[in-house]
Amino acid sequence: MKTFKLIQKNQDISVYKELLKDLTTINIRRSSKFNLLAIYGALKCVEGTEYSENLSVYIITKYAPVTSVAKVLQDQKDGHHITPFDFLNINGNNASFYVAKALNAKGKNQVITTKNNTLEDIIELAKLDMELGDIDDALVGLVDESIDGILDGSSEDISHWVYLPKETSKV
Amino acid sequence: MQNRVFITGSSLVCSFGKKRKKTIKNIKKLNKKGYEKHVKNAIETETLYKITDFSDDMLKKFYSTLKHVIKKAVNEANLSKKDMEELHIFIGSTSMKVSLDEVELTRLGYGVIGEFAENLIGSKHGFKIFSTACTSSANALCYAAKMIQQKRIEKALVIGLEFFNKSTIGGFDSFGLLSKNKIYRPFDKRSDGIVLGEGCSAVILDSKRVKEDDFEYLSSSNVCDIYSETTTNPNGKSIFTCMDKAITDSKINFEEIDIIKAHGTGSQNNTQAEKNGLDLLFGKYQHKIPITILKSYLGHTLGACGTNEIALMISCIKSGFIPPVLGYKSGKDIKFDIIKDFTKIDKKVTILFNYIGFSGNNTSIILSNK
Repeated sequence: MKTFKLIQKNQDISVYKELLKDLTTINIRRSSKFNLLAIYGALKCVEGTEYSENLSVYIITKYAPVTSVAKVLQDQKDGHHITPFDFLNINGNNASFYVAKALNAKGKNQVITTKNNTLEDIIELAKLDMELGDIDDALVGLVDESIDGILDGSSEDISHWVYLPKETSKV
Repeated sequence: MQNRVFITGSSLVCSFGKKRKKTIKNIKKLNKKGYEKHVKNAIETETLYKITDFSDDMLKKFYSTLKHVIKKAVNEANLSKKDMEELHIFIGSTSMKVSLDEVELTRLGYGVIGEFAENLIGSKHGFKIFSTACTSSANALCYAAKMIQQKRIEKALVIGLEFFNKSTIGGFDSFGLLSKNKIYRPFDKRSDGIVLGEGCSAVILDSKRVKEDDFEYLSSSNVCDIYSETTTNPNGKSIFTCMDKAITDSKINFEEIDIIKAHGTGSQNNTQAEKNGLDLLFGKYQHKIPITILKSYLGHTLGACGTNEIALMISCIKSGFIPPVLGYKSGKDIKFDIIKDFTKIDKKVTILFNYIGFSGNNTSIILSNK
């Protein structure tokens, strides 16, 4: 079982763009910080791992793409129209799609929020799918971008991932 | 040995109102001519069917509607206070609480929706909120059902919700996906896009059947592809694989399915993808099943359409009819049967529900009350 954990103070989106420059070739130019944070952690987690073609991706998040949502809300207040990219970036499962795309993972991808937002909650879902034979292996991640500066909030950038190989459900 | 899973209660609030009888009565009144007249009355400025039975104040409307659907579903399932405490909560939505945030952003994250439901029913088990675009509440229902089947939980409350917000309507508009004529015509040659809808529903899943005509969850499947952020692969293979896996897992014969409730997005790419997926399915089994679509009645209620369309379909079936695809006359290269007229039935049917979401997320569910 491989893991990768990034927890650090609020970073600008450009930091994650730079980190991803050598890791992926997919087009992330207009992607949200939430997406980039997710992709970076996911790619680092499975770096050097032979995962299946049908790898499934599960993300658990408390705040989802919060900076993108805050931007869209502010744009509305300022009388600006929402752009296609802004709209895509506020869709929660845009992040799991991009992680799957970056890994060419053809299994299912899901984004959820739970009461406690723990990795255990999302591992439970992945293990259920595994037990039922719906998936082979899974990459599960707890992803949240910092809420610094939004509603006087304060938190860190988090991208914590666990790779669950096939047969994990039997462990 | 798996547990069986039954839908013991369901409720829906949509533009037809909050009362089931009124909704069914109004739907039955619609015919081909009546549909266009209805659309003109129901749709005002935005390309959207609105819920009008509650306050215009979004905060009141949001929580009053949510409270209403939960209470109605719980009552229909005859749940005691103790039963309600045992409900695990599963929620699906695309826009979550953006409609509230646009009025005033007071709290970050979606958890507040789950907490509201949790406090209302006194659940001891917390909540899971699914964010997989238009398959959100369908996926919420699938996981709830699988957990009951696997005896991990006994009962579940599944909620789908979608309320008006400028971000969503503006987003769809930015892609040119909204119908200019503001008329939903899924699969029809004249279709010019999507009409959105406000809608909120609740479904109770239980390992024990309550009423003789309760629908049973037979199977489900979720298949994703990475073709595009906005659409599933137009070749239809993902949609076909998804429906076919649900059929295989249901352990029933294909011919035993009486109706397919297609997603019927109304967008060009998804229409092509779903049409191709259905062609592949009917090609494999060499048998055609009549198709209906419910978006002409509800609008596209996005992440809530999973439970919304199940709740509406159950009401129609229990009232003795299959709702036709209003607005459909003829489609381009459509080789399957799309139901055009209200059809009386004996109230015992097996239905395949198909859903398609942004980012290539496809979900199929099979329910039966036979």
